[in-house]
Amino acid sequence: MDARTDPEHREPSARPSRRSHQTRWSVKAMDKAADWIIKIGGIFVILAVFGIMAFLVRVVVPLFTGGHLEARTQHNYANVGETVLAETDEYHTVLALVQRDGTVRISHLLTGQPLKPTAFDFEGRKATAFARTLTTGDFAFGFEDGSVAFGKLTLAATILTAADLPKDATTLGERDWTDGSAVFSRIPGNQIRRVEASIELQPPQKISDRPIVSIDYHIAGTTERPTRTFVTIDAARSVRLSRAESRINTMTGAVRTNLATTDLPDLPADIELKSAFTVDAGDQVYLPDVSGTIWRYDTRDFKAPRLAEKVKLLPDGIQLTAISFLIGEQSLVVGGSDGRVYVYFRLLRADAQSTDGFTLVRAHSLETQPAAVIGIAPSPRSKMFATADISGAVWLRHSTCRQTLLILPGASPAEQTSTLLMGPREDSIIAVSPSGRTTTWQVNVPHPETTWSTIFGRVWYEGYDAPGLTWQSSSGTDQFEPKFSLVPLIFGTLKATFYALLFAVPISLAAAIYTSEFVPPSVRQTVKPAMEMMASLPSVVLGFVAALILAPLVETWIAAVLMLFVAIPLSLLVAGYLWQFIPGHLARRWQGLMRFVVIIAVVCTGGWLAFQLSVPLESLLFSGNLKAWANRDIGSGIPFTALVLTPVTALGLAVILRGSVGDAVAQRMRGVSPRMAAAIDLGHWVVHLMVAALLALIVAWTLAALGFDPRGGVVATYVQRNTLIVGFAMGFAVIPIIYTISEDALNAVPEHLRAAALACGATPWQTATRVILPTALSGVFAAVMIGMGRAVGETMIVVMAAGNTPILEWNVFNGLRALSANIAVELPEAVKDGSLYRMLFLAALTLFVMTFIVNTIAEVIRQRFRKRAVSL
Amino acid sequence: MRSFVLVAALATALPAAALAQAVQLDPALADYKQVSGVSGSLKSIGSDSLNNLMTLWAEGFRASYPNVQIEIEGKGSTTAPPALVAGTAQFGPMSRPMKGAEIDSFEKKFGYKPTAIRTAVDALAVYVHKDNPIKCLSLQQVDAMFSKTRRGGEKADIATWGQLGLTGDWAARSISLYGRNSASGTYGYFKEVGLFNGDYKDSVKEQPGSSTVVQGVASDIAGVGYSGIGYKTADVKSVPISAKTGETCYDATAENAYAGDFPIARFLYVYVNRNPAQRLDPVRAEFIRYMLSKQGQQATLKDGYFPVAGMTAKADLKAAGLEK
Repeated sequence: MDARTDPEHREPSARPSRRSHQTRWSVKAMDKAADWIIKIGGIFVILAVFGIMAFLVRVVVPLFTGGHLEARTQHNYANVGETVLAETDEYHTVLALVQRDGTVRISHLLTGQPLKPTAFDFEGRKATAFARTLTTGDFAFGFEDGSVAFGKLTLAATILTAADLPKDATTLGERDWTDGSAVFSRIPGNQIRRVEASIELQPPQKISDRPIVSIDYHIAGTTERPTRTFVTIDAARSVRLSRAESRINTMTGAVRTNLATTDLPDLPADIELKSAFTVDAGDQVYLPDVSGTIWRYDTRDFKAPRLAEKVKLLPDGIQLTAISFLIGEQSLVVGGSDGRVYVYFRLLRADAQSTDGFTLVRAHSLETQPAAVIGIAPSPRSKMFATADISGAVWLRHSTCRQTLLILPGASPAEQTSTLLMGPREDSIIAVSPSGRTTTWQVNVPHPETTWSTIFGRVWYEGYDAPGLTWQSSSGTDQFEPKFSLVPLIFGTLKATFYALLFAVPISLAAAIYTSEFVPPSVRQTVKPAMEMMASLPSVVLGFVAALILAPLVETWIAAVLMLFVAIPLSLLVAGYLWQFIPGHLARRWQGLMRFVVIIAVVCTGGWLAFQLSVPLESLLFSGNLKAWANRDIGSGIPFTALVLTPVTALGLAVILRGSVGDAVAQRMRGVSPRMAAAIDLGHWVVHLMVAALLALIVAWTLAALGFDPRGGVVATYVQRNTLIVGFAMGFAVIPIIYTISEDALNAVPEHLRAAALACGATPWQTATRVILPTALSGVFAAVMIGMGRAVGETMIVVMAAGNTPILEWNVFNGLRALSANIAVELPEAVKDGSLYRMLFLAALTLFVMTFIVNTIAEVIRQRFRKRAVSL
Repeated sequence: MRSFVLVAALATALPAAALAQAVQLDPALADYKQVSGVSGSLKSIGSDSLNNLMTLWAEGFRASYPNVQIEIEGKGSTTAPPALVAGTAQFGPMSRPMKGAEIDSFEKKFGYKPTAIRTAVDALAVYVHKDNPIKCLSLQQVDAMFSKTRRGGEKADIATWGQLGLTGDWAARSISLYGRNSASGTYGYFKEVGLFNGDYKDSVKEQPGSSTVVQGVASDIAGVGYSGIGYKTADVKSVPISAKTGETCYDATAENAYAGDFPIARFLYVYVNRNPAQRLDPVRAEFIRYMLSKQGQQATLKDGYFPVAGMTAKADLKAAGLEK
């Protein structure tokens, strides 16, 4: 990045000695050695750059490779009744199948070896409905006599030393042993993990006089404030929702439980309900029927549950064959009899036909499976889920990115699936058939949520109104779905760069022209190193000065700061016109240090005026309160538009009137005293400016009448850490670079061009703008590009001053989140080889490519400039 | 400096002071007894909310064992699990429980799960500027202020203080949101409970630490932010919160936090890599004992958080294999 080597400042080549024309051997040897060292060094630099690039690519590639099937095992169990629920542990050791009669068949997952079975004691009741919580291994049973019971199946793991392995344990596969009931596995560190199933069942509670036909059960909340919610349908189709909210006193251990129960209003008699669903919060109940219609009840108020809406989930003629929530209960997955799979979100919609303002919206249509979808197994970790069709095939899908990750080969002969389960670590999928055949697929899908289109395109995340571009990478729960869109970050980088350059380029170019063309070399020799010293300020220092000192100051004085951009150029122009009143001999005598001092004084006066006039000008332009004005709470955009347009109209007028009015004024100035000429020039300029302002005001009026308001685009709601601050701070970092390189380019323009222009009668200003600048243009451009490269890669200033908000707005008054800042902020929290970790590497790769392109363009132009400079 | 700020906070907010004095250590907490032969070094990487408290514990611990070197780094709870897995830290303070994926990566390396020790109770407070007249907020309103998904069920977005019933100058003021960066456990916990697992608005200003959130709110009259109760200063006030719109609002006091009435109360954890089949080495064992002793919990109180109950301490000492 350090590109301040000046080709023009190379040492003059050594002159050949007069005494001897023979080069000494030591010089030759040194020359040869240096040649080789440079060559090898250069090759190593190139190799290192490519090495870094290759490393970044290697880390990034797995994001896009999807998943693969690691193993498939299949076992048949004899004399197995109907399996209604299944549970497995995190380590692929034990599989527990709960039968309709309460028996729990336990087996070793990978070998199929049966272990000692156990049973839920239903006390002779016949179980008619079953439910399982997604993540905690809790079960709910509904019985024929109208009672419900809650149970838990724990597959507890304990760690033992290798010596604790029972002597009589028999081996199971390569890793495991069993003593008949527990499974022992060898794990790293010469340790043994013991996994054993245990069950508990709470006494049943009677809630109805009729058999329970469907039940859904949820456990949620934090450890100290757990909630349990269940909903049941009985044979008379009355639906009852119950919720227990507990608060555990952490000081005394006392538990206060608040129980609430509500019966939903009666349903139409002619529908065939499939099941009942509720959500963790207990504020919704969903009742789907087989035809694909769903009744959604709003149960926020238990005293008055009401039907919120009735939605047709599937097209006519297609039966609803499977339905399930994904983790978090925001996405409802439905499977149809023709194999189609839809994902619905409950969203707030202004045009919703429901009583609560929400409506079910079909957000994703996934790839259609060849046969009817009869089972859905949501992942307990992410928005991944498996769907089983009637032919026995199982597809692994991801809701948000809509992709089918794996098509898992079904068992042969083909057999239907009665229970489908995804393992707790979403690395196994288990399908149980009615005949007791169990198929286990071990899968490895490390990054299901990332595809090119989710990273760079619009994605419809659950709960969002519409597809969007969002970066929100991590959170404290498994329910959270990471949102990896690089677009807001790339945008943030470009926004910071754009505003920084908008501030830095005019200042640094003006400074470069000034020092190269208008001041004596002695001044240049002090000013240039001083400017270069600015570059030595560490960017972290700039960043925290900007964030902690500049940001609050600018916030307090925002109107005055904005006025600076008007007041300083204006006062310099006024000073320029006034300077013409000074008699020629004095002006020539003062053009060195004296003029420099005057300029400084004028700039200070401009600043002072801006602060003095900020209050009246704020009330004139921004209705007295810039923040409220920018927020569109008060005032109109007309004065501001007029102010911004004034320079444009002034330039336009100057171009249009140059021939007529310009010549007339020049005519009048001829032949009068210098003081009179200066007065005419000043008067002309003042009138010109006023006309331009008036014209701008008219244009602004017209634009406002057409509905244009500058607020909402480049100026909108003000926040303290904003792009203006970043622009200032980054300007500090970029100005010295652009200044010094472009100054060199201007200075390298051969002296004869300058002399010729001045000799032809051009003023120094005309020489600078029409001869010197065009000649050095490619060098100046290269300087800007190198400055831009620095701004793109800049990290610390953005981290400290930008607020790090990943928003997609050009508003100069709010923050941004740049690629580089994002990497710096999030790397410590990224687990190695996790999705976020790889995403950050992708961000790094993107940044690398961006700076690479910018610097390459700069270098190519610099080369051209060099050739051109040489040819002159 | 810290204690000065606290004294100032207590002096200005009298009712709070009265309640704060009422917080007393559970007599069931054990007295810390110094043992011999403890030396070595400890490193803690994790929560920023627990940063000051870890420092206080480290100071107290070093008073007994001057040979022990302790380093503390607090960039956010999410940095704790990678540090424990990589072995760069012995303690991982976290202001939320570890999530499944984090436990997995730990277990993949060591074969066993990390041990969580509950070291303090925190009422995760919602702070506003000291001049803000707001009296009460429900979780649903908090959700509508901070979240773009509004899973709490509030219909409309809340963007100005007027929408929360404030009048006069306040009615038109737009709410300025302050929050933590995503590495923070406070960020995650607030998202889980305060935002009902929804997503933050993009306009929440992400601050690197709890104290910067409080500073931000203190210097911004329209500001609102969340942080641990230990970071409260005289320039901000914590708003009473109710679990549901229309229910009683509870102050962020110890009593309400213990009872579970303050709806965003939580434990602050310290995670440790303990092999269940082996004994903990003396330095870590003693440090854990110290944190859960009367002296350690006195430090918790001093830092502005609430001490844990004796039975909690006992249960966690047992989980760490330090008590039968």
